[in-house]
Amino acid sequence: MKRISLLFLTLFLIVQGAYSLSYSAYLSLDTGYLLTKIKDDEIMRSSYALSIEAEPFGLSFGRNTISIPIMLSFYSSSPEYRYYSLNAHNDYGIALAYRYAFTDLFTLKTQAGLAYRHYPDIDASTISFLISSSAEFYPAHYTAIVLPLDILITKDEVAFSIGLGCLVRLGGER
Amino acid sequence: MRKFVIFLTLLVSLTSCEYFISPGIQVEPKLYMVAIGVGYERHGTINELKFTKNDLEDLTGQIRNLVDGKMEYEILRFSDCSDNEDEAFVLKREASQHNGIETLKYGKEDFCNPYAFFDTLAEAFTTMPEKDDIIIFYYAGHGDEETGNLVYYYDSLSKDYQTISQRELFDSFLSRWQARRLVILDSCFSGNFIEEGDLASTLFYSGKDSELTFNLSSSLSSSFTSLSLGNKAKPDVFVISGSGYVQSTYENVAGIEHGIFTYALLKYLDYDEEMDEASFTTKFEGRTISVKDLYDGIIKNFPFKEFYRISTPNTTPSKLDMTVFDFR
Repeated sequence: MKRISLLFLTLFLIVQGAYSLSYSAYLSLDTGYLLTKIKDDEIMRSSYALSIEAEPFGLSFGRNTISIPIMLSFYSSSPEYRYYSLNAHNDYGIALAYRYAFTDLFTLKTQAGLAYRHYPDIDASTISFLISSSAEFYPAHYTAIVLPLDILITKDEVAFSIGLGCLVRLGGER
Repeated sequence: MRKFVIFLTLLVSLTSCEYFISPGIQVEPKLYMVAIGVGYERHGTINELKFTKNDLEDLTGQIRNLVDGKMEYEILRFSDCSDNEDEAFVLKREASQHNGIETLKYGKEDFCNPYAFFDTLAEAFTTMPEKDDIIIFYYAGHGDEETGNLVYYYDSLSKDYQTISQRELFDSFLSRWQARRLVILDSCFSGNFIEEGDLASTLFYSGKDSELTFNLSSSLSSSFTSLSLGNKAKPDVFVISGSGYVQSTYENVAGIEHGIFTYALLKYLDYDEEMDEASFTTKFEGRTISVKDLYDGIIKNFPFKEFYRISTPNTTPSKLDMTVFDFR
């Protein structure tokens, strides 16, 4: 039964795609802040965040869009609390994203991926995993206001990021 | 756009955890420093280091000048550069509550093995370091080629010598207190003292003259590997080493009468380069100095690019940075 459902879903997507397949590209910039909790640390620490995201190959069929975003995020160091602070770091990531346009004005995007995290001040790095959801409001046809909410997970650390930004969409029909 | 920036700044300021949570009762921190400078002049067979005495005197003097009047301090200086022929090693103490430098009376048996040496140092402090205090352990001398162990003591008659290993330093000495701990090492192979944190280093040996350089592919693979290691997210001890684990450190380069690593640190701390002595500075008024600041300051003030590649300062890879001095 599961296989048949999967087959029907694939056929549906192919047929749907053949009739209304279109390509689009997205470029977004958002700023916000990040709350980080590290194991053994006393509190959640906060940093400023600036993210640039490019999605050069978006594939749209009907109200659905699948894309592969490439992300560049910069996080500032946190204020000091009890002699410790969080080091500034940069994330360079790639993800798989899915968008669904509920209306012409409102689209919801979810994505999952991973990032190479670099701490430039101390010559160190790690890998982080990202789950993100963002609401996109389209006041104009090709531009949107975005509200991203990210969860970043790496060894002994969980972080949440909220932001506000703008998005430019090139090509594709909604 | 301006309104948005103002809104975001207000939002962060009002909701940041660091501002919201009271740090609790904080006492004024005190500086405890152990500084060791060994020249091996009397050993005869170990290469003599001519300028470890300068490193020891100038660094402790500069740090004393930085903290004087701002926080209490106790500085212990251990060296083999005694003027007294009968005493090969000497331990001196300088404390904010006493005037001048006191020479402490200890014998050979108090230094001749690491455990006796650690007990001697701990006893030489007039008070015990508390949780908010900072302990700095500084060493200028030779490092053992295989392990980076610190060659801190020798017998000039038997030509025997004693070393301190990383585990001995961390577990038998620095772990005696709950204070913040920083180790600064100007010695060959001192990268061996850096414990792996929960982060991977991005610096790797290129295989040519022990050059340590950034390598993205090695960094990516070691970043994945670091996820499976059981290392601490918040290190017990922060280390800044003068070299990688197969590298050497150097002194007396181009007429600089210091180890080049310590010289870079002294320059960052604003010592009087012209007079080659400790100075009073206002550079750090109203700000803090963290481990990252010290490491960054050393790299920016490193005098020779060609030496930086083969004698590369390292630090503990950690997501957290630790404040060493707070002059706010």
